[in-house]
Amino acid sequence: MRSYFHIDMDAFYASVEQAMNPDLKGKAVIVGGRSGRGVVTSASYEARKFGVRSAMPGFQAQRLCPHGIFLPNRHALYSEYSDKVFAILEQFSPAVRALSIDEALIDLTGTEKLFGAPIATAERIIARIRRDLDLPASGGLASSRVIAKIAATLAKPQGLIHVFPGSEENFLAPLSVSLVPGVGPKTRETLFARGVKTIGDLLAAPKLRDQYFDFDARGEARRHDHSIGSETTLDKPVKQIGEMEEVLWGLVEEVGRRLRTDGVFARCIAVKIRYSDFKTLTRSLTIETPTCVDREIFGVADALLKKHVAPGRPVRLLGVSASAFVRSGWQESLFDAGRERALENLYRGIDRLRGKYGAGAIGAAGARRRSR
Amino acid sequence: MEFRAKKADLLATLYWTQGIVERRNTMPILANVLIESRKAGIHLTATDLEVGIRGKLEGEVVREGVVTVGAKKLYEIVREAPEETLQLKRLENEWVEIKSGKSVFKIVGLDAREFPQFPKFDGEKMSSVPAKTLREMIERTIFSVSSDETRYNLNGVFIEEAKDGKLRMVATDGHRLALIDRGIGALGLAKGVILPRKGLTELRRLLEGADDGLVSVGFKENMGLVVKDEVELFMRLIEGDFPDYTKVIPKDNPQLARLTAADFLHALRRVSLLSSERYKGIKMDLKSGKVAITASNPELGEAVEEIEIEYNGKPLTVGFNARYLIDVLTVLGEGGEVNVALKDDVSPSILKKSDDEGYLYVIMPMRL
Repeated sequence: MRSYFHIDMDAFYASVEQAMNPDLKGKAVIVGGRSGRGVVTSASYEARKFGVRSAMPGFQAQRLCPHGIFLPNRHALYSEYSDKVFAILEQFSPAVRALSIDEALIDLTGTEKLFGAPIATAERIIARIRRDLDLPASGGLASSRVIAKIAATLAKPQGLIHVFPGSEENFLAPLSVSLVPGVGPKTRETLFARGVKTIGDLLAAPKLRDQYFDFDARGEARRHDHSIGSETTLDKPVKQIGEMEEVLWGLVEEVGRRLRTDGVFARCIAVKIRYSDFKTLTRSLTIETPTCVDREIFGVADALLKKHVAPGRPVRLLGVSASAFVRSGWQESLFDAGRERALENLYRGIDRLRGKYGAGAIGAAGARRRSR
Repeated sequence: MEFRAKKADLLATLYWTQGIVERRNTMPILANVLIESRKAGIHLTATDLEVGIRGKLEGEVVREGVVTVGAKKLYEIVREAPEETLQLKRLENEWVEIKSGKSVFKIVGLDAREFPQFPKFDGEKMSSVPAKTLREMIERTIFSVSSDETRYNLNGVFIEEAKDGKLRMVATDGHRLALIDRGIGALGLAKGVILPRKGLTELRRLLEGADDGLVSVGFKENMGLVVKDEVELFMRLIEGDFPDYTKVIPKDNPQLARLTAADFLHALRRVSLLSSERYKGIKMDLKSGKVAITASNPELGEAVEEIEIEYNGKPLTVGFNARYLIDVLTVLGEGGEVNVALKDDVSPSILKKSDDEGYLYVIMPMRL
């Protein structure tokens, strides 16, 4: 039986601002969207009471919450705090997987002898983050990664849900399918149309069950990931392809690092472009040789961006994702396999340096102004 | 235009055109065969602009003239003709009448003036080469040609003059590479050229059964021409640079395995039944005196077969695409032994037939 602890920081950017300036505590803090044209990147729970949400246009947030304290994004600061959070997580397990700047999956299997029951460890982790960094977090503990994530989502804010082994299906059955990772608005509609509304309905269909859940059948966790992606809402709409490429680099670095951490190689790379008018497009390309190398991913993502972005039309969100994973068993190229392996080793080395000295320790020369 | 010809002769000449005409071509005329009936002889021509063939037909010219008709349909009609002789005649408005015994066909053609010109080769230096050797060279390389149209420079076989008056052909798809040297005399190539796969496929067909004869080979600008008996085949060379293949031929592969070609081929065919469709991966565990070939597929199961080999290197596990090995072992034939020179599980290996120094096959392993 495995124990996965999914931890998700509550209103991360806004909470960091509150931690830096205690006067902001208990107030409606909104990061991003100050200009009215930009978007909200994070809103404290006090602001959420008024309906303010991430990715909402600034003018709308200002209308909903006129007394809100609007702050500019300070990415470098959030990155720094993120590193501190991960430093704490890594004290409790060697298997910490960063899912984004403010979300992680920690495998607590086998830590009992050192730290006691996983639920006690989970509580300690959340308490440590609260004590050392003054930041709130929520978590989910379960025997599967997907269930841990769902539990963490339900636990928000500042909660911890433990799904006891054996009670997984009872816990899941009444919940809405929209809580399942990988089910977005479109999929939800499709599922609803088929009469699949609750997770219980979904689990009753063996195919869907396999597709979305990683139930432990043979004592070994199956991969549930369909894709690894990273996206970011830009502080202000961008029209210059060069500026977009800089953002793209940052996203690619994140995706590449997560691919390498998981030991998978992607055969499909996609970019997501959202314009200021919210029209969104996603374009993908399947590549012959699966990769986990930033430079290769960037090459594909950049080509997709240049091919599909409408020139001069302001872009407000960019995303990169990798999918169609393989771990092994593909044909290597006669002409540049050596180069591919060298690059892979190079990036694994970079990952180690960043793990030790922080994300800013080393980066590609073109991506200095990273926004993570 | 009007002529009479034997069914067997017409069928034989039309046969060469069948692989050339394009089914889904944007230019309708390219689906047609050009029939020229002149005092000097009757000629049939087909081309897709990249490859073309022109054959002479034995027959009796009644009236001179030219027509074009659909090559596939004409071939079908001739094949089913009831009598041993046929008569072709041009009617008004591009209609063509085909008569054999009591059966009469009228099919519509296209204006022969629209048919592309067959390139003129006269006065170019032509070299005579043995048909059998040329065919062997094509067969042992063409299967490695890339079918990825975005890598157009790999969509053909590279041909160049090697040292000692030998002719060399090389083909690669980026994953494996086949190279053959044969002493068939110089072709007068100043530098290497890339012959397209389709042209070579047709050439191989043309060379089938021609075991003792000679064919003439010549080049002109961006064209290659081969003449065998009464048939001329031209092909447009692929423009672009062939990659520096010498770089990917390993120089230092110290682990040597010697296998019976037939055993190896059959074991691969069996085991690969359980490898994945996409990459056909198999694993070879080499140990002193034996190799275990395995395939496993989470959806199907697994297969293993052990064969005895000569191997004195250190134990090594390496993955290969079984198809790449089966391809080469199939064209090399089941007799004799093959030598495989390996370095490790990430570097290319070399496969050779033990009695043929002029042929080598480089294969990149799969990632395990």
